[in-house]
Amino acid sequence: MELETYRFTPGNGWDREPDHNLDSPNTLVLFFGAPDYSLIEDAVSWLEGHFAQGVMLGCSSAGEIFGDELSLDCLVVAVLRFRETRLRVACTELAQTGDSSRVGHQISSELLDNDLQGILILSEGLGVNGSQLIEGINSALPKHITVTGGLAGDDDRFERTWVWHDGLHSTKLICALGLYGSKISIGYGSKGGWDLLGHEREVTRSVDNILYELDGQPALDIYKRYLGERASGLPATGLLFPLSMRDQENTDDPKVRTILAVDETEQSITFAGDIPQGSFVRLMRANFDRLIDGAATAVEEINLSRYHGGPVLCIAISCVGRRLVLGERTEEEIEATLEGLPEETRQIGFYSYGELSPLSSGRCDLHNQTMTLTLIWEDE
Amino acid sequence: MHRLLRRQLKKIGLDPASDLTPTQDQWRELLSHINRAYGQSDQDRYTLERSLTTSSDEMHELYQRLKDSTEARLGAIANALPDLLFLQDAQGIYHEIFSEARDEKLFRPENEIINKHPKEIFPPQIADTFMALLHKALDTQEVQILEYELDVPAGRRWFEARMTPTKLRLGGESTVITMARDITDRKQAEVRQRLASTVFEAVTEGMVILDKDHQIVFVNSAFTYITGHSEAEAVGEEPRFLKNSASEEKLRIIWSIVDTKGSWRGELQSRRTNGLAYHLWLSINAVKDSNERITHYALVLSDISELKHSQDELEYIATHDPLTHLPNRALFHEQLEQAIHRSKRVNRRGAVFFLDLDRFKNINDTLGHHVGDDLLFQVAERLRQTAREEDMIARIGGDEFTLVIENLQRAEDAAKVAKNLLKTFSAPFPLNGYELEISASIGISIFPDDGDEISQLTKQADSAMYSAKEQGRNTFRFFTQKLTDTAFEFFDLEISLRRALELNQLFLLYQPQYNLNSGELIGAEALIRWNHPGMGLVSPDRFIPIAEVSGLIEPIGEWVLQTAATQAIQWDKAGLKPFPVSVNLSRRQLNNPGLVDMVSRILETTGLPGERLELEITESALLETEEQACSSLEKLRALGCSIAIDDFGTGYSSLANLKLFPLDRLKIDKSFVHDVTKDPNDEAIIRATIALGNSLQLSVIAEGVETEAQRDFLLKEGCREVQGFLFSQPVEAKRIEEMERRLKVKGGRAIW
Repeated sequence: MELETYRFTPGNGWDREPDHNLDSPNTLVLFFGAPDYSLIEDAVSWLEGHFAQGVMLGCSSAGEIFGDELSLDCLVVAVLRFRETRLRVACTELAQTGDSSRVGHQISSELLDNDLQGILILSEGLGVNGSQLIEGINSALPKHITVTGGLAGDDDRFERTWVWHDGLHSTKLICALGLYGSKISIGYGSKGGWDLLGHEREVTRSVDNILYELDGQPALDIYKRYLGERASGLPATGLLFPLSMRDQENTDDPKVRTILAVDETEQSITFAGDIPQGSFVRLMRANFDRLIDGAATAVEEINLSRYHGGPVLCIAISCVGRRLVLGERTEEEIEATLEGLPEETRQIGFYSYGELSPLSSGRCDLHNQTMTLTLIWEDE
Repeated sequence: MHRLLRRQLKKIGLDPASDLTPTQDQWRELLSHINRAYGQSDQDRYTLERSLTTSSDEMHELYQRLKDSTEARLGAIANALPDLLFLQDAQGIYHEIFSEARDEKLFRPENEIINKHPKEIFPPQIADTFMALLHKALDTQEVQILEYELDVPAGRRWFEARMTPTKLRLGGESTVITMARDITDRKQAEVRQRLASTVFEAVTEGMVILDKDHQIVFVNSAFTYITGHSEAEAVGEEPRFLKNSASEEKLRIIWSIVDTKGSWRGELQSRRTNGLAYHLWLSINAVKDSNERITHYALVLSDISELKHSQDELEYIATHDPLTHLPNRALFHEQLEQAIHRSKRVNRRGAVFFLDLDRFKNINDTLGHHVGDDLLFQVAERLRQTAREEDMIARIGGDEFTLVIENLQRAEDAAKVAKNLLKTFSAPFPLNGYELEISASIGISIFPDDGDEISQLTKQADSAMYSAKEQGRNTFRFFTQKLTDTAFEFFDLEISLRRALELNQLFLLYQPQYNLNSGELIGAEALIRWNHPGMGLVSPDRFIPIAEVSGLIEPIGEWVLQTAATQAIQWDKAGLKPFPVSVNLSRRQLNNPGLVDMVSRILETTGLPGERLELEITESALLETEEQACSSLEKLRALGCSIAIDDFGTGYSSLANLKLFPLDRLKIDKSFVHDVTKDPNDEAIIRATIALGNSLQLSVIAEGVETEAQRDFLLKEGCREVQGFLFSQPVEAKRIEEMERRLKVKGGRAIW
């Protein structure tokens, strides 16, 4: 596998010109860019023109990760030319939120084949119900296939996200990249590192991913009470207090849910995943060091036993909430991941509106407020 | 250097390790980065502090709510308890009381107890007791229990206090919680129970408590005394004394009454463990719970053997004559009533006999009462010996005795009983050294003929008895004159008939039987006649029933057979063409097991072949024969005799019946033949009989043929064998000889 990463900054251009000799049918061009597509449109077109044979896929972000640096309103690109690994993409536009599960099932069914090893999902980040999307994906796939990915971001605005494939950049697109063959290896790790705050509350009223009441009180009131004067910054400031959620039966690991939007008239909060009525939630709060430690721990989770040297791509997908909390110190978590990875690792990634990664059970699930890492390499 | 500062420097293009000083722009940018970091830091601190404060407030609020609800819950629980709860410290001071709605059980109102010492509240003795208990509870750290009585607003009550040391400390003092429970009801129940058990053991009635499954759970000592079953044997077992007292069926009925009505009482006869029988008065009551479900049974039993014994004795005295020990008038009435009732039910007759000693008054007057009593005693004895077991003898006063008998066939049977009674007086009575000849007079009434009421029947028997006296005593009279007449005629005839046999007053006539086709003599029926010296010819209808009742039928029957058989041989000797002779057999003969032997002997002695003897049995006799009679008939047929059914059509024999018996001939009764030309029914019967005979392969003979029209009808229907006045009356044996001889001379008989 040959691997190169590039950054395009509006006004400054490419950090170096991408090597179009890497183009081949086995070449993957993966990119994450400014939500304002016009800023990077020329660069994407250039790539499209120079990597005509390869598979090209990308989405908008809430902060682009390039190496150990966070940059905004630019384009980060990874070009991978695989020796043997084959690639296929399935895409569908999401007509309405309720279709999420069906779309998930459809795209993963399309990709399912004998030597399918893993799937990378890039989904638009606002209309989709991530929980249902992943449920649909899981329903079509055998357990051993690794599914990772993320929901596209829109900085901290929560207004417009896009996904790009095959010359089309669409606010409704959900794309899945299938990786096939015996040589491909995919590692993953995901960690939050948030602290629990206050007592457990029961979800007394909710519909899918819209939360109305906790312990019989409007959920929005609770958030406003905690945010104080920063409540004016909602929904972005709501990311400071994600929810840790467990279901009634307390079966799975607790999941983290992060705010996507608020509705003042309905007194409701929309989350990136379902908050079932009757489940129990606790507020979470950030502790910088622990968030950064969390990112480092995500690295430790990755199974590198099959890695025997050579280039590795690390796709870091972190939560926009972490970026908002970490602020000036955001890059520390990017540094932390890279520090723990093999020397030949190249890292790109983005701050997202939802991370997809397997649970300890092996089945993929939607996460919020985590640093989720996907490592791709090809055995020599 | 802080990694953030290091990164910030790197961002503006400065290497922290080098000595390069920043440019103006770099410096400005660095400051802006640092400023942002500070600003963010402030915001973070604000958010953190605020969230911690908010969370802490929430936690506090939550705690307060929980605390309130816990206290409320504890209070609710404490108040829901029926007990009073007191919290005291080691000094005895009351700190808290839970007694909602139970203030009437507090010695003083709550506010007069709180923060007080027992000594300030209770009388000294009680206060001391409470304090001693409190010290003991704290010293031993164990629950202390005390029962005490206290006058509270609700009255004098018993309490049980459970004092428990707690871990709670108040003002540095240890504490105890006391639960005081009102146990007045329990105490009263205990007293009641003590009283009840004393009573149980003191009473002479046996008492048994069974659980719902009839297992004994309690018995008292009187129970053991009465039944012989000890408590150890009885408890846990089913009541065996009941099983000894009644049949399973009766017990089932008793228990079903108890279960439905709630109780049963009655008398039973049981057996003690030592085998002695005793009478038991038992009352059983079901004990039910508040849901009306039976939980137990209470049984009370009294031994009423002695009572029963004296009751029986009293009853015997009340119903019996002390002199003769015969039933007295009262019992006689009762027995007669029952007899009338029974007779009605089975549609049979019965008779009431009044027996009065003749001239008893003279004996009493001349020889004294004790001789009279002795006589009465002996009379009673003789009556007892004469009467059958089922007959009821009574002495209803003075020298008057009564007898009631049931199942009479005929009034004559009563006459025979009367005669037997009178006969018991034929032997003299040994009295006081004398041999006294005593006679009696008897009056008889028959029920239901003479009536079916006691007073009526006794009055009639009484009056009949007086008429017997008037007739010269030592005799009997029926209330109905005709019955008396019949009875005496019956006895007279019986005596005459007996003598008739001895004096050869009986003789036989023979009615010839012919074949209509050939005109041949085919048989002769022997018919008995009695020529009484005074009365002239006596009809067989009159004397045969007497012969039957008296048993004379046996010797008479044998005589008839012997005579007829002898006659048949004589006819042979006279040269007549041999023909069978028919002899009638009575029911009594038929049932006599010696019949076959007798016939066989006669056939042997006379030399008459069996084929020449036909035995006739009436249809009704055949139907009432005993089983062995059938085998007698078989044996008779084996001897060669043939069997004919006489009076066929008058009984109710069925085809099935006819097939059971070995028969040869049916004799159509003369009553049908008599009316055959007038009554289509009789025609039909005769036709049916002929058809029946054909189908069973029996020959059919018509008797009583008197007219030519009758003869023609029979001939037309295929009945060829006949007898009757049209051909010949019953005639003497000689006459048959003459008739046949003349016929021979004439060379043939006219075909009728």
